[in-house]
Amino acid sequence: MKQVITRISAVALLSAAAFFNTSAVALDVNLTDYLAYVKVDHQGESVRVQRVQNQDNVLTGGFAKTSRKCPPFCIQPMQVAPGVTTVGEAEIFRFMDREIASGNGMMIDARTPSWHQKGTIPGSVNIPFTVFEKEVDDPELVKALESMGGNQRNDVSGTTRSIESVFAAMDLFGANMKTDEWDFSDAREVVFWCNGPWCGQSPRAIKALLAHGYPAEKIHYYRGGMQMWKILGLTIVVPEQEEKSVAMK
Amino acid sequence: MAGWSGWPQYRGLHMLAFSKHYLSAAGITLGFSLLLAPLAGVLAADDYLSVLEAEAADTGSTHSQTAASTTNNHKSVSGKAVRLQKIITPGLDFDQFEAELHSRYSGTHLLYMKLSAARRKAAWKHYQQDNALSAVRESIVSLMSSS
Repeated sequence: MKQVITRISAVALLSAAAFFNTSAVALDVNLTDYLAYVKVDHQGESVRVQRVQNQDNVLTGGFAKTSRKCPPFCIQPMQVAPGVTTVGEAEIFRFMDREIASGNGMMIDARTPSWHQKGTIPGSVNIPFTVFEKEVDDPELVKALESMGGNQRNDVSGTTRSIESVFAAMDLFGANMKTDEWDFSDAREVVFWCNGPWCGQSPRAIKALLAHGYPAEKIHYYRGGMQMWKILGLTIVVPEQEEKSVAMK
Repeated sequence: MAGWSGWPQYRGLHMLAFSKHYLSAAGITLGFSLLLAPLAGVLAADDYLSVLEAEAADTGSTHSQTAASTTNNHKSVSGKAVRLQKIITPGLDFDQFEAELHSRYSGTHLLYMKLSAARRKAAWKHYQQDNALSAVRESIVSLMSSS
C-alpha cells in the first residue's frame, strides 16, 4: 500500500513538473527584474506585453529618426502640468495589471487616427487630442468624458455651485471634482501618451482636459510614449481593418 | 515707451492731431487683429494637424519595425506586431491548439471535430504555418471536403 502511494506521489510530482515546465516559459529579456510579461485586455482580446527576445534587434524605420522640425515636434518637459504625474514603463505595466484589469483605469492614445492605425500600446483606446479641445457640449467630447467616468450635470443651480465652491476651497466632499457641467467624482485614472518626448499631442490633450475640470491627480502622462515603447521592444497591437494576422515565422 | 502717453503734452497741436490720427490707425489695426486672431488660431491648429499627418505618413508603418509579437502565447517572439484580428495563439502544441479552438472558437471546433485524427493533425500543422482563424477555418473546411 505504501509503495502504491509513493508511486502515485511520484507520478503526481512528475506531472506537476511537466506542467510547470510547459506553462512557465523563462524569458531572456524580461520587462523588469520581477516581471517577465504582463497581460492586458485590448478590445476583448488578451494581449501579452513582453519584449522582443532577439538581443540583436535594432530599431529601424520612422521611430529611429533623431530629428524632426521643432516647432511643432519639440521636446516636452517632464512635468506637463501641476498635479499631473509623469510615469514610465514600469508604472505602465502595473497600471495595466491593476487599474485596467479592474476597470478603474484607462490608457488613452491621444494621437490622431493616422498615427494610431500604425500601431498602438495594448490596452489603449484612441481619443485624439483634438477631441479634448472641443467645446464643452460637443458630442464627441461628451462621449469621451463619459467613457472616462465623468457624469454630465444638468441645470445646476447657482446656489449649489456657490456652496460647492466654498467646499472646494476647503477640499471637502469632493466638491473640487465638480464643475458647472461635469461631476468627475467617479472619474477613472487615465494615462495619456503619444509618440514620445518629441510629441505634443498628449500634453495638449491633458491641458485641455484640465481646462474641462478633470482632476489633475487622476491624470498621468507617459512621456516616453511610442518612441520609448518601441526602443524597449515592447508589444504593439495594430488595430483591425488592416491586412492579415500575426505571423509566427 | 515712457513718453507714449505724454506725447501731445510736449509736442504742440499738430503733434496732437498726428497722434490722434496715429491712434485711430492703431485702433483700426488692433480691431482687425482682434477680428483675425481666432482665424489665425484656427489656421495654426490646422497647420499643426497637417504637419502631424505629413509626419505620420513619413514615419511609415509601426509594425514593420520592431515590436514583440505575443498574445496569449507561451513562446513566440517574431519581431512583428500583434494584429487585432482573430488569431489562434501562436506556438501551441496539438492539445493546446484543440483546447483553444474548443474554448474560443466553438463553431470552428465543431467542424474540426468532424475530422479524422490524422486530419486534425494536418489542421494543426497548417495552423503552425498560419495562425489566422480564417486560415485555420479554411484548412479545416478543405480537409473536410478532400477525399
